[in-house]
Amino acid sequence: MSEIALRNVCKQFDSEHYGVKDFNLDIHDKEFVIFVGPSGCGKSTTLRIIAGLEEITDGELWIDGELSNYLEPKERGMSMVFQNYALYPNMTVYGNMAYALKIRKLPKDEIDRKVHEVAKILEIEQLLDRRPAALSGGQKQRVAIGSAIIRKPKVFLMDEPLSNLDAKLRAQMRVELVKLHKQLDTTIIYVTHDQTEAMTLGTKIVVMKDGLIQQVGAPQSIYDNPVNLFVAGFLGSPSMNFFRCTVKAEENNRTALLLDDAKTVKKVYLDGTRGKQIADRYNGRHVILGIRPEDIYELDEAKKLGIENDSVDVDEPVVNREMLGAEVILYFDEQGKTLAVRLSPENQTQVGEKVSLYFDMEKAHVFDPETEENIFVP
Amino acid sequence: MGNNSKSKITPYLYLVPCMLIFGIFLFYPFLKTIYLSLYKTNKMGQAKLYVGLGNYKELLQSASFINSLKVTLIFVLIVVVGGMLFGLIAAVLCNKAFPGIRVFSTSYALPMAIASSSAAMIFQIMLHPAVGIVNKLTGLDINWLNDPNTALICVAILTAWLNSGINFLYFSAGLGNIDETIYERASVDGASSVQQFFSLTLPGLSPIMFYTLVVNIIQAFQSFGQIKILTEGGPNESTNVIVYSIYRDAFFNYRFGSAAAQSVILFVIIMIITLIMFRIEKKGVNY
Repeated sequence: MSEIALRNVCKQFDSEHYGVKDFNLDIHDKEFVIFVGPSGCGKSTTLRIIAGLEEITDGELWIDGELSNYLEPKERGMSMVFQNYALYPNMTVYGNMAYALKIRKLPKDEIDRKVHEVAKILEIEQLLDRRPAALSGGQKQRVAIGSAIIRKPKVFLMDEPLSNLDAKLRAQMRVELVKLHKQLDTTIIYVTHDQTEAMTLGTKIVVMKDGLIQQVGAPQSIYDNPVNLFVAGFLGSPSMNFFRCTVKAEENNRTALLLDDAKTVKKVYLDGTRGKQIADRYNGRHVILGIRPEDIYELDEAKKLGIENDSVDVDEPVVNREMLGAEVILYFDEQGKTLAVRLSPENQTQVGEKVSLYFDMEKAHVFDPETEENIFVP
Repeated sequence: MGNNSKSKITPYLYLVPCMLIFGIFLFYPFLKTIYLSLYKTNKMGQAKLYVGLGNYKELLQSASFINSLKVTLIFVLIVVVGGMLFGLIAAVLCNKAFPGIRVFSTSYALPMAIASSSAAMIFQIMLHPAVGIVNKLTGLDINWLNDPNTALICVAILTAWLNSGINFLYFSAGLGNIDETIYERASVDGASSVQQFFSLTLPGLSPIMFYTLVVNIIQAFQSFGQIKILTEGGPNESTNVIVYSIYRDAFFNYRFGSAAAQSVILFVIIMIITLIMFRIEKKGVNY
């Protein structure tokens, strides 16, 4: 049982620099919470505040209903996996894993049983006699996780534990971590700058930027309904495409969005209540249209979806084509930026060809250019 | 062919300056010492009468020399343990960031920059039985440097303090090499600072600790200046360490043969201790 609550938590490094600003969050028992954001956004600082490694300048940290601002790290009942693993270089793998238990003066045979039990789960039994210097990155990482889970902490903190691994191992460890979360049945707070990790691992994602929380929610809900330009652009790979547009209310309750700086007229329509909402507030003004690469189609598929009217003729031909096996990504230059389109692998469009693209406007987002907020998300 | 023989000689030519200096100041005196230790000499230090191992036999039967050995061992023990402890404690204290840390760091490293003779002069005044600050502060009335019970300890503590400066530097460098995050992990794991010191800091320092130990032992055996100034081997030979005894035999008593034999014995002692320590290091310090 572990409930963590952060109330207006601030971390100030000096009079002008904030690591974390006015941070409010409730973490419930057995959640897998991900702090995600670009480097320097305060995600690691927040994790270290929860661990007790960083003092809180202002605000309150509650652990299980107890004000814990001034609790020593060892009194918080948490364990942590560090980015560089922080293995004790003078101890063997066995010694590393047993350290936290030895300090608690557990009987030797019990320590021995637990170490072997955890080593078995993580498949590192054959490494128990080695020292960290003789381990590979992936093995070190397993030992670090093993040392953390061995004493069944209330909360499990992880600071970018996969960032030093190669892509294949990382994908493998992601699966293992999800499995581990189910097995351990405990709260995990996980810091990463990698949006794929955030999307695949978390039950709750906290997107951060410049020390401020941007959005909190389930991965799918944040992906589908990003509250602002930053969140929309940060989650998803390739990231969402943005276009500056001018709103024009037309007949039949249709609202047109005209792409700015276009050589020819490029127009897409928003219908129904969404269209009306935009037309009422922004008619004649600029907005930013956001559409994900997978919500843009070529003619054949657009016909199937019945969206063949929302076409945009791109000015420039395809500049790059990435064949990823299960999908093809085409890149165009539009409004001086790269426009990415994700298509099915059967698509044969080659570099240098010009095509018409069809936007699935049901899935499009519209952002206010000044506040950068998503107009459709309250 | 000329080219070939030239390229064979060239490497040796590069070694000449170094070998010349070593030869004049190290190898020649060393061999000469061994040579002299087998002779009785005249007052000019010239070998006159071959006595074989006679000088050594005499030394090992002399109560004064046995006392010298004992005094030296006690002295080395106090100096090495004290000097390393001072340095280690200071380095650990200065490993935390707080305002004014540089002032402390500099003062802990300062003994390194003080000549042993000037430090000895300062100690002489501090330990003066009538006007010295030590007696004034403690309210005691001890003639520190003239009492056979305290003289050796005083000289040894002074030497330990002098050596602590360089030890502080070594240990500071060693502490800087220990990864900060293992302490963070240890504190989350639940280790107290004392537990962290013994399970992480000390093992982390072990490679540099070994090096420092070897250097300190050798240095301690060779201490001379402060003894010459403070006690001149007295009172009652209580501070007559081997190096001072060598100096006295050679330059007061003009018994160069005996002094040379003592030098050789000192060399053998230091060599054996160093070899033993390197042997132990191969087993002990490893990660």
